[in-house]
Amino acid sequence: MKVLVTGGAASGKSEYAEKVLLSLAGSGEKLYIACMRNDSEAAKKRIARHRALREGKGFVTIEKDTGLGDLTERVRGTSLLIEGAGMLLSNEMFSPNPAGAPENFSPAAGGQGLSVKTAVERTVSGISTLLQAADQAVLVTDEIFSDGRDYDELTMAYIRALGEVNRRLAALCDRRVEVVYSYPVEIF
Amino acid sequence: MVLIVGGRSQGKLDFARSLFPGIKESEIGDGRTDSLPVLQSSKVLTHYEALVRRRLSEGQDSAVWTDEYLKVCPEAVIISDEIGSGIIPLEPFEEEWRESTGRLLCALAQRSESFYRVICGMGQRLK
Repeated sequence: MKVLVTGGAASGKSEYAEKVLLSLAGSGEKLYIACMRNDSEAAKKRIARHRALREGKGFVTIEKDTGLGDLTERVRGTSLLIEGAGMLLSNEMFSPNPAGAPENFSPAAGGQGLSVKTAVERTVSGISTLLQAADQAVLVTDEIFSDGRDYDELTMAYIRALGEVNRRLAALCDRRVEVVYSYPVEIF
Repeated sequence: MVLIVGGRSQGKLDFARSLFPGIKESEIGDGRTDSLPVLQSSKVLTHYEALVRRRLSEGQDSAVWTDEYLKVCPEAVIISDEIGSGIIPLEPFEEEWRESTGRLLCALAQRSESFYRVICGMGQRLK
């Protein structure tokens, strides 16, 4: 079973995603792939919150901020929680020197990171490979599409790119759920 | 307590009126404009997200205030805009508002007797 969990900021989606994975997981290994970078105070706070949430639930944490496909063999046969697609895409798009990036990558607008198209492909292929290799998996992603605001060109490109990533990965999952202030809403 | 959330201009207050036809206009407090004492005695508290923002700008968290409000008014109807589905704000205040509104609404949803999300005027019951 593969489940996509989406939701807005502070919607309770991480906690819900853990609950779903724990209900699916058997006695096998439970892996948590943490894609968030530890590069700001806000990120550190979030990471600490997520760590506290996971504590005592038996997860092995792997930090991997780009190139998820590298972990394919590692995740085979496990129960997998990936947190999350939004962070991963942002890392793939905005890293000055993405780990494992092809040598001939063309920088996105702003002169940093991969081209948007390459970043989308790396995000989708990395995650989908892991979803296929794991026995069961829950993928967390972000709803960033409804604040009605316009941003600079690169941010708008990121919004469109995450829309594409979400659509493509949702199509590979058996269940899709939006979490609204801690309550799940099935997306059919 | 009944919690009603949804995007802007989705008809949340009208939906509340349809759930509780006896609501009088004088019983509706607006988190954008009404004073705390007025809100405290309002059966319906609309724009909860704006109240959280106002208090945050004065350096106050809203968890304790909300507890006290619910003690006075356990049958309250709380209405809030959903504000979390955008890009992470660059300004720390904006991010703190978004984060704290989300956590407060998660806690309210857990405590509520019923929880609705309104889209296009239609209330979807989540709890």
